[in-house]
Amino acid sequence: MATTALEVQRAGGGTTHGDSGHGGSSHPPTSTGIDSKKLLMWWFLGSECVLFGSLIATFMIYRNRAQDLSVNLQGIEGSGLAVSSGPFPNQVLDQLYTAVSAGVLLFSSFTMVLAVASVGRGNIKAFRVWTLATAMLGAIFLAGQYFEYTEFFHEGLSIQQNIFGASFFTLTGVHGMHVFVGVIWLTMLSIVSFRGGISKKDHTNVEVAGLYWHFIDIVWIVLFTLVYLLPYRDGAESAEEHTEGAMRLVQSLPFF
Amino acid sequence: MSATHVDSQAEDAAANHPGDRVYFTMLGMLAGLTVIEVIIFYLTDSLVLRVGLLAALLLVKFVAQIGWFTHLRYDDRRITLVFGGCLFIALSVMFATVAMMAVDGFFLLNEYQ
Repeated sequence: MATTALEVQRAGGGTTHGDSGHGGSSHPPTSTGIDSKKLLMWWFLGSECVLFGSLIATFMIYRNRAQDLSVNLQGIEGSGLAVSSGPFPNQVLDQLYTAVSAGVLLFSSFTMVLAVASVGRGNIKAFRVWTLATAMLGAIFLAGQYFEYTEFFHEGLSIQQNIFGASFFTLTGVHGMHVFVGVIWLTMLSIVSFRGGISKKDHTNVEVAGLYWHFIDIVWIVLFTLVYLLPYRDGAESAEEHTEGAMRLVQSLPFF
Repeated sequence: MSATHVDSQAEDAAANHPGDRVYFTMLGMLAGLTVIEVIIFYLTDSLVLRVGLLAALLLVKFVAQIGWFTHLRYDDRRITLVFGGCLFIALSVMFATVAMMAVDGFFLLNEYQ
């Protein structure tokens, strides 16, 4: 009777197709041939894409609306609607400062990938150094974000101030929370390794932590462009002009 | 699972990852692209040019990070399918929401004028 690939895996042997997802000669005993932890992490990251996609969509809708609302709601007495006010994005965002933060997170991705490579080679000393460096860079990023938030508060922008503040703090705050979880995870990995609990066979566990860390860096790459670098309208006056221009454009469409 | 099997897994996984030199190159490239993004922000007046260039750079950085640093291009293709599928759903929801709100929100705001 022919032995199936699954039976070979259950017996602890390797097959010639795929490994832990890397195209090698052996793989863990799972029906997919892909390590379950790694596959689960990729599914989780996929669900995170939907979470951040929704938050980014919300931000993109509201990024210039603070100016719009400022124009449209002013002077409506007795409407019960709060008049939106500044500061507006162009008055508070500091692109150079955030570029440095983005660089810090980018560099942390590099140290993380070196940590994963080190544990794969069985070099636990190097693994500790790179993991601690990654956690430290993550902490520096968080400190930078804290400083940025306090600056914004001093300039009058809070989560309740206007619709830009609400969407900005929600989006970057959720990302910051993910970085915080990552820092805790990497710190725990370092502590475990100092207690002798990490060896070459834990490569997949470290790689899974690395996937999470790289993902939050990828999210920041997207946020840096969409939140900080894409142009905002200047203020209330230009918002009014923009609204009139957009109205003329829509009315010129054949189906209106 | 035997210890030998586990060791061989770790060796296979490590062997199929790129070397440190590739990581250094990727870091240099990503850092360079970030600097270019900031330069574009400060030096480009044209809205279309700025948005176009930034979108292109964002795409390159995204692919570089996901392909090399997460090792997706060295992994099983089914993993790419899983992540790509989720990303497709996320982008579809994102664009549909933005498109819908851009029209609806626009008329809602103009009711106050």
